[in-house]
Amino acid sequence: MKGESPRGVVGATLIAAVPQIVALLLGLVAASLLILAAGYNPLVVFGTLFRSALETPSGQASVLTYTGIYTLTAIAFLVPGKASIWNVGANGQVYLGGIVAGVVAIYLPLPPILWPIAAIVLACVAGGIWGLVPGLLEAYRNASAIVTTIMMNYIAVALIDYMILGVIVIKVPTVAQYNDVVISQGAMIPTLPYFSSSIMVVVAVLVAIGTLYLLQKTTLGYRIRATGLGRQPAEAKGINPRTSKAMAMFLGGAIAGLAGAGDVLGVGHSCGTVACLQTDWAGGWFFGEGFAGMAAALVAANNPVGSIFSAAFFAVLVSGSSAVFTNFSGLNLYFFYAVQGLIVAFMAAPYLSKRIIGLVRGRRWT
Amino acid sequence: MKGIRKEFPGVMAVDGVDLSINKGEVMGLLGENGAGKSTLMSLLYGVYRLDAGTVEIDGRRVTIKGSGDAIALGLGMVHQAFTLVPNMTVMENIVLGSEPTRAGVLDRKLAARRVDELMTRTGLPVGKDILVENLPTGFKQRVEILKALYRGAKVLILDEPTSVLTPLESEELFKSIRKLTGEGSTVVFITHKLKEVMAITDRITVMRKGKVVGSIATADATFTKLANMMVGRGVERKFVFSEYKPGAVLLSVRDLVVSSRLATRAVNGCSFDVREGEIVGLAGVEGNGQTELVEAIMGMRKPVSGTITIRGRQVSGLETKDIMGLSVGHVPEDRALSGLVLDFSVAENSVLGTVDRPQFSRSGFISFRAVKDFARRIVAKFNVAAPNVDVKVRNLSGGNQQKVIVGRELSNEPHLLVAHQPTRGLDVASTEDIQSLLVGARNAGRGVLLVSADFDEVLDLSDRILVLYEGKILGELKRGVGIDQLGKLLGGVAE
Repeated sequence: MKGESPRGVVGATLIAAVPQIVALLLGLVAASLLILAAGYNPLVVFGTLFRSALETPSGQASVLTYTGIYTLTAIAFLVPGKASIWNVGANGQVYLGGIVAGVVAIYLPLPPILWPIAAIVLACVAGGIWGLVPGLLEAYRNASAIVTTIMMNYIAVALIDYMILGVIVIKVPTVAQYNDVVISQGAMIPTLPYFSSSIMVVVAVLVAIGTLYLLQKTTLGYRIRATGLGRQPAEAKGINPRTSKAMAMFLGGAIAGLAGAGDVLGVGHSCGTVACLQTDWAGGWFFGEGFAGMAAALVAANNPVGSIFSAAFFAVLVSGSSAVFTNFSGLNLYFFYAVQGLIVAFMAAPYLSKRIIGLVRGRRWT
Repeated sequence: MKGIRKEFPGVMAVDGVDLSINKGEVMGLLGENGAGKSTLMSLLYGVYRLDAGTVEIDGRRVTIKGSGDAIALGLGMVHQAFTLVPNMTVMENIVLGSEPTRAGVLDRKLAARRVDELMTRTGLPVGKDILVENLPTGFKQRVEILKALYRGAKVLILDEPTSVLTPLESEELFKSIRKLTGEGSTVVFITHKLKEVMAITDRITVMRKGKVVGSIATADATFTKLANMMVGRGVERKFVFSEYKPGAVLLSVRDLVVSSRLATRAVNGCSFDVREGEIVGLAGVEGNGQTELVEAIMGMRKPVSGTITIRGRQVSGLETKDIMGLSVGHVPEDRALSGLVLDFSVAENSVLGTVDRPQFSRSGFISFRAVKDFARRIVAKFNVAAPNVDVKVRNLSGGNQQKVIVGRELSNEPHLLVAHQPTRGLDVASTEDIQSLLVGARNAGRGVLLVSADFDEVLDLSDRILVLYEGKILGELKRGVGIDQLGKLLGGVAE
């Protein structure tokens, strides 16, 4: 069959990505039906969305920032996923990283350069621990991480609310004043040239490449993948699956913590881990960064580098969404979540897209 | 059934079998693992399609295209793995699939009455409102039997029904079978256990390597007779053995007792040694404690009492990793489940358990050049048919998968190799390849503990044969021993 002749790594990757892309398109088609039902022309709506995200400076900055965040939370999901453990708790881990970075940046003055680095490292540790706890619970006590990570999300949100609203750490009396909390310049991370976005997107890309390397080329990554793909043979050959799972959850949590730190310490607080927490809360925080990251990871079939692209796609959707909300009454934030959900739903049914590809090619997919 | 034939890729599972089942009898279908018993019955039940042959029921020729046809013809089969819905009640499970309905809704009263009737008629009571997940295994099996009977089964095929039961539950099952035949049902009892077949059947048909060896009335059968039929003797394969000069003791097992879920003393006081330069065959019909014994040696199961010493070191309480560190290789019983990560490449599998060694990785970073070189050497040396070492082992044939495992274990140059069912399910060519590798290891001075239910294999390869029966070693035989003696011992008739 001509479709199966070797065409090099790039070609193979592209062929492997075809079902993903088809699923994405199917999701967009389904979203278009939603838009039609709301009484608008899908082409116009998507046109507005893409133009706003890609052609305005604020849109571009937002796309870059969200690409960074979603890439990192995608990795926070997929690394434990490789050890066959479901980290649904990237949200909580992002918040923990964010608040710890915020506390360090506000209350722990250090020399420049060292200051943001210390904040980031501590944020990673905090996020890592937030991931490690459910990791240990699943590895040693057989408590499904799907449940415990969700619970840890609630605990994280409650904890942060307590720290902010309980006037313990950040000491701002009203929601309106969150944005007045100043993070000193010395603790900030650098901004990209030309764009009003921090260098976190670059860091995220490097982390994605590093994760691919870690998974494929290190003994730790080998143990994590062996645990996920074949727990029994791994165990029979002396690989301890419990340690692998716990390690994967710590890594995932730490990377989510990095996303939180990058957001708090970056220019503009676009996502607003600390500043806009209340908005997140009001808008249903559980649809936050962590879940977009999960979607991005699923779309990329758990490939760290592929996640950069799917993260960018979701970043475009979310960045352009505010223009959609303002121009088309009736299409609100939940519209964006619906689109995201539809795409994930089609991703989760790979057989469907494969079947469609088969039909397009004029033969049955077997 | 006449001239039944079924071929799986690389294996002739059932090869020209004629079989008759008489009404009202309990027919035992006896044979070692892989003899084709289950396949033959699955063909009858419509799980697989026949390659050749005909089936007649009550003198009428029938074609069975699926289990639906088989059920309609009055056949019922209870598989080793149950097919019950755990969180539904016993009654719901029994009627599931042919439930009486009224206006499209389950008629619980009618269902209950029918199930009650069935239980009284057959004398197999089970509390019908209990959730299946709360039932002990023996009762789950009884529900499976009732389910088949509810669908009108007149011939009941039980596939290794006692393999999941405790001895007490087995006794109960035998009582049930007697009640059923008293009711006019016919039962086919598939097993590899001589004792059971003697205890419960009226007639015994013995299968070996896909063929029927013979059929005798249970009243005329003896353990020895049956064991000899099961063991048979194929073509003697010639391997080149160097002179038998056993060296230092590598493995020493003393008074070992190991328990399992099904038996408190699955291994019941075993003692033996394995030395350098010898193959010690542990022969026995499956389920006599082999699995537990190997797991105990490999640190996967904690012994109740007794000692295991490997190369002078007491290993009780050590983890698998530490035991492998004592230069022990292990070819596990179930290669697809425990030997390989199927979605890993040949290269990745070649270092499973050894990736931390300095030849493959430095401070956590794997040298894939070294790993692939190592895998290529395995592929070349052990004749693995794989296009390259990056291919997933899932895509290799069973024989080649096994060669990857044996190759990996032998390439680590272990002093002691524990090979558990190393050739089960393999085609003839792969079997011979693997067996010569074991002989080669022995000639090179390694010690091999060969645990196998394939009697030809044990006879061909072993310098010494230990016969395991009900967790005990019944006796030791030297190379070249007559098949009769092995048969006698296997039947549990210790001299």
